Amino acid sequence: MIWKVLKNNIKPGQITGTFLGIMLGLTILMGALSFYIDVKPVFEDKESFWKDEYIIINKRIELTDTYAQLQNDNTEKPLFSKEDIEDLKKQPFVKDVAEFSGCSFMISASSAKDGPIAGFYSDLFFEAVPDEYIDVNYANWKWEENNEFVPAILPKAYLNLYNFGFAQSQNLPQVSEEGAGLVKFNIMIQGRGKKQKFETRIVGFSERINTILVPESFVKWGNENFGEEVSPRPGRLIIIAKDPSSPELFKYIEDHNYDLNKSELSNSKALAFLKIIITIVLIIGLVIILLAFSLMVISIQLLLHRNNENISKLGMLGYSLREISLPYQIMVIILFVVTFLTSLIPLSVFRNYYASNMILLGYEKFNHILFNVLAPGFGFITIIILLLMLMIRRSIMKIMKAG
Amino acid sequence: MEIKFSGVIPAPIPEKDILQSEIWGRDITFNAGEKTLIYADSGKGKTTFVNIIFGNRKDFTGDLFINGKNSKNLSLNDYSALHKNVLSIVPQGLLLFPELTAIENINIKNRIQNYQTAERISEMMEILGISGFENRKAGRMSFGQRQRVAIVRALCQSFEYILLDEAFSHLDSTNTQIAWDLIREEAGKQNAGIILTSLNKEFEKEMKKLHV
Repeated sequence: MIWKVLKNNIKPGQITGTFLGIMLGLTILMGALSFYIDVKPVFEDKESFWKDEYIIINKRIELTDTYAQLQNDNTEKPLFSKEDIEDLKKQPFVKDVAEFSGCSFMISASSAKDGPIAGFYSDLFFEAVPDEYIDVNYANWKWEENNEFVPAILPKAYLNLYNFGFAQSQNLPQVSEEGAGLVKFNIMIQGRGKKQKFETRIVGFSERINTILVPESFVKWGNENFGEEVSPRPGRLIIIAKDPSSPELFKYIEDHNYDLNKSELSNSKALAFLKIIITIVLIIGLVIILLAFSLMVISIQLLLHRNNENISKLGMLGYSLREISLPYQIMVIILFVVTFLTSLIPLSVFRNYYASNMILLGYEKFNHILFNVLAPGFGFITIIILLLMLMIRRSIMKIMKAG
Repeated sequence: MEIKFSGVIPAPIPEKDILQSEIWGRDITFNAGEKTLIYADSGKGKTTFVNIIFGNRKDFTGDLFINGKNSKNLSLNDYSALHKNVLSIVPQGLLLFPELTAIENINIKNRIQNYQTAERISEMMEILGISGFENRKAGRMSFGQRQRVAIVRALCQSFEYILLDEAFSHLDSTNTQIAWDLIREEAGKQNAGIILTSLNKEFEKEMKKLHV
C-alpha cells in the first residue's frame, strides 16, 4: 500500500541505465579478476621444492673471459665478490641473498653393476645452497660426517638427456622420474691425494635449477678435507625477491651484466605486463561502477525529492523512518541482486572462452568454477547496497524532519 | 495527555500580535480530555500553533512539553510514535494522496493499527455523507468532500489528543455539526482532548476558548 505512493516518479529509463552500467562494470571487474586468478599459475610453474620468489643469477660469461682464462690461470673469473653480494642485499626489492657453494674437489659417479642402468660412468660436480632454501620434506635431505649416503637433486634436463640421448644410443632402458629415484649410484671424491667412496640416490628433479644439488654440509666437509679451496667464491646466487616480477629487479640484473634463466625472465616479465593490463582493466571496471553508482545515487535522490510530499504525508500518518525507507531499500537490494546474477551470464561466457583456449594449451586447472570471483564480487555489491541503503535512510530522515 | 506551552513564541509572528495573544509567550496547559477552541483571524498563527504541537515546526523560542517531555528532546522516532497512536490531526491542507482513492487514503492510515473495522469506516463515511465516493481518487473530489475523508482518516487511530485545523471550513453548518458530533463521539470513547482552530468564536458554548 505505501509502495503505491512511494513508487511515484520512478523512471524506468533511469533504472535500466543504472542496471546496465553496474552490470557492465561488474562484469569487467569480475572478468578481469577471474582471468588474473586463472592465468597467473601459468606463469608460475610451481615446483615443490623451489619457491617462486627465488631467482638464480650468475655473472654473464663473455668470450673475453674464456680467452683470458685460457691464457692465464690466475685471471679474474666471473664469480661474485663479497661487495657484489653486499650491494645486492641493500636493494629494496631484495629480501635476502644466498650463495651457491661449489666443490673444489673432483667427483665421479658410476652406476651399480647389478642395477638397471649398468655401466654408467661420469665425472660430476656438486653444488649446494643453504638447506632452508630447499623446500623438501624429504627427511633424508641431510648429510652428516661418516654418512655414506648423500641425497641429490638433479635438473630434469639431465633425465631427458639420459632417456632420449644416452639410453637410446647405448641401448639402455629408459627410466621415469620415480624409477630414477630408486637407482643407487656410487660416488668417488678425490683431492689432496685422498679418495673416498659414497652412495647417492636422486630424491628429486627440478626444472629450474641447472645444477646437481647435495646437502650443504657435504660440500663444506668435502672442501675442508679434499678441496683446493676451503670456501670457493660463489658463481651463482639465489635472490629472494619481494616481488619476482618487479621491473626494478630486472633493471638491476641488466645493469650489472648478470644473467638469469631466460624463460624465467620472460615469464616474470609477462606476468608483470599481465599485472599492469589487469590493473588497468580493473580500474576501468571500477570507474564504470563508480559512475553507475553516482548515477544511482543521483536517481534515488531525485526520486526521493520528487516524492518529498508523499514521504512527509506518510510521516504525518505515523509511519516511521524505517517503514518509509524499507520499500526503497528493498528496491535497491532487488535491483543489485538481479544485476549481480545477470552479470554472471556474460562473465561465464567470457570465462568459458578463455578457459577452452587454455585447456587447448594444456592447462586444465579450472575446478573452482567462478567461485574465486563470486566472493569478492558479492562483497563489493554488498558494500554498494549498504551505502545506498544508508543514503536512502539519511535522505528520508531529512525530508521527514523538514515536515 | 497533557500539552504545555511555556513562553512559546514562533519565529515569524509580529510583536504586537504576541502581546494580544492568549497563547504566544504565555504558560498554558491543555489537559487530558479537554476541548479547546483556538480562534483568530487569518495569519495570526493558528496553523503554526497546530504544527508546533504536531512537531512539524521547530522554529520557535520557549518550551513545549508533551506529557512532561520537552519537545526539543523528542526524536524523529518519538514523533513517529506520537503520530501513530497518540496525536491525530486533520491538517488545514488535508494532506491526502491525490493519486489514491478516498478509501485507500483512509486505509493507509487505518492499516497501521487496524483501529477501525471496515464496517465502522463505511458507517462513518455514511454519517458524513461521502459514501459512494469510496473509489473516487482524492484528487478528483471537492474540497468539502476531501475534508470529510480527512476527518474519517483522523479517526482511524487511537489518540489522546486530536488537532482539527479549520477542519470544517468547507462544510455547511449542518454538516459541521454532524462531523463535530462524530469527532466528539470518537474522542469521548478514548477520553481524548480536542483542539479546534477556527476563524470565528461562535462554536459550542461549553468549550474553553483561547484567542491567538
